Amino acid sequence: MFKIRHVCATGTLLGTLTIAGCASFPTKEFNKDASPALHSIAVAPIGLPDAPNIMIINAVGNSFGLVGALVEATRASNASKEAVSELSAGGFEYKTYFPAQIDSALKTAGYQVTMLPGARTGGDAAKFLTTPPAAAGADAVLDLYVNYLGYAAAGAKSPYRPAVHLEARLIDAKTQRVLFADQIYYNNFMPAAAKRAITVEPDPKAVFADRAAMRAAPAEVTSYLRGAVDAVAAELGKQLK
Amino acid sequence: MSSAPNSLRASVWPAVWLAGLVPWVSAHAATDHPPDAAPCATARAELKAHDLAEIFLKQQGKVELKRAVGCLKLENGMELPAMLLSLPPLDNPYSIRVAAPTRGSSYLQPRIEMLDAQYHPLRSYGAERLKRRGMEMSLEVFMNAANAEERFVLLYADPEHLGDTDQKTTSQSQALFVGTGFVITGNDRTASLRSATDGELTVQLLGEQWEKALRAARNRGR
Repeated sequence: MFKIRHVCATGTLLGTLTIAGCASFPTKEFNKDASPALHSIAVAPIGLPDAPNIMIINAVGNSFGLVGALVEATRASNASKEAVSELSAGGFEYKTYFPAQIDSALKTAGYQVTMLPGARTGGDAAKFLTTPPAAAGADAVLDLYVNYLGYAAAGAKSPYRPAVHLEARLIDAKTQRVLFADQIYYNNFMPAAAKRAITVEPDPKAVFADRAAMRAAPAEVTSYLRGAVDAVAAELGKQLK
Repeated sequence: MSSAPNSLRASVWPAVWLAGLVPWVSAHAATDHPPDAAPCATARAELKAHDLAEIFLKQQGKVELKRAVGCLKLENGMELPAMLLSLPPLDNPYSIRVAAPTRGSSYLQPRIEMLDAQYHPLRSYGAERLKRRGMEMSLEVFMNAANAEERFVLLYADPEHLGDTDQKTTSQSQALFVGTGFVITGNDRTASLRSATDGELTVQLLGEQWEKALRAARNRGR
């Protein structure tokens, strides 16, 4: 049962990436001159993964049917749990750090910002909200979710690099019109699947030869992931400036 | 072990060598003495304007920036391939999306200038404003009511970013045959690209009216 749940989780992730490749994201750049009255933004609770992602993009196990997929799912799950410990040892709590960086980036871009209370759980954590929350006094609501946060390796023998993939949508609070919709991917490891995502290249120094190297350096693992979050938040602020 | 007689080898190898040399010679000849080089315009007004709407509707906005299409001598004396596009009337707000692919070994980082009827730049965007999107660098320029004076868009490689190198790392899949079937594995692929004066661009018109116009043009083409 435990293993089947993780197979489903891996399948969902791969499925998401596949779907991302098939259905192009409806990108809409922000036309600031057309929204001169937009001064305040309410940020809906941000969808974040329950645990950091540690993925081997082309895992050999996936070539060996269900048994191979089970083995790979178990590996990914264990790696994710280990990453929780590594980030904890490095003093990094991304569930509070990420929203704080978004808040800061929007303020830097010149907006009054309200971080709406609440949590985004279950299926809502990995997709845009069906109904944006009420945001009294705000001109627009920012709907954000992160569909990848952690490290990724191209293959079993490839190095791990940090990756943070953000999906963002800004909605006019009065008309509910979408003012901005975009993807910001730090380390867009599958550009053919996310063809239109704004891509931020990862820090060339942020490379770990394997998982053992990551386990041995939790401070660096944390520092590079924090840098990835900073870069994504800054890029979002730049898009809305 | 080859069974070809020595006489055959002797005749084949020079031909193979020459075949390999031909592209090199032609490439260098083209670089040193461009046969189709038009005289370089010393002012923006001297450039021949192409109809952006027509290029978008008939060629999906695909253009190639090269000297044969147009050339502009900048104030600093530098001569660069350039393309001047006339803008459609601003009946409703729309936007212009300029994208340069980042495939191959070089890529174009355009400078985008929005000119008025007297060819004076009213807005300009350097290559630092380009966004890296997937496999391309792009920028969207909005045409709002406040930009009604603009008549042309001028594109040329940003001289301040010529020679920039861009390194990107992506993952790629590999299929390995292991006797009973294929195993998919992966590795990193790092590509290094150099910013060049020439290259492909896609210039699209975005907005409700342009979606309709494009659909109508496609229907007419069927």
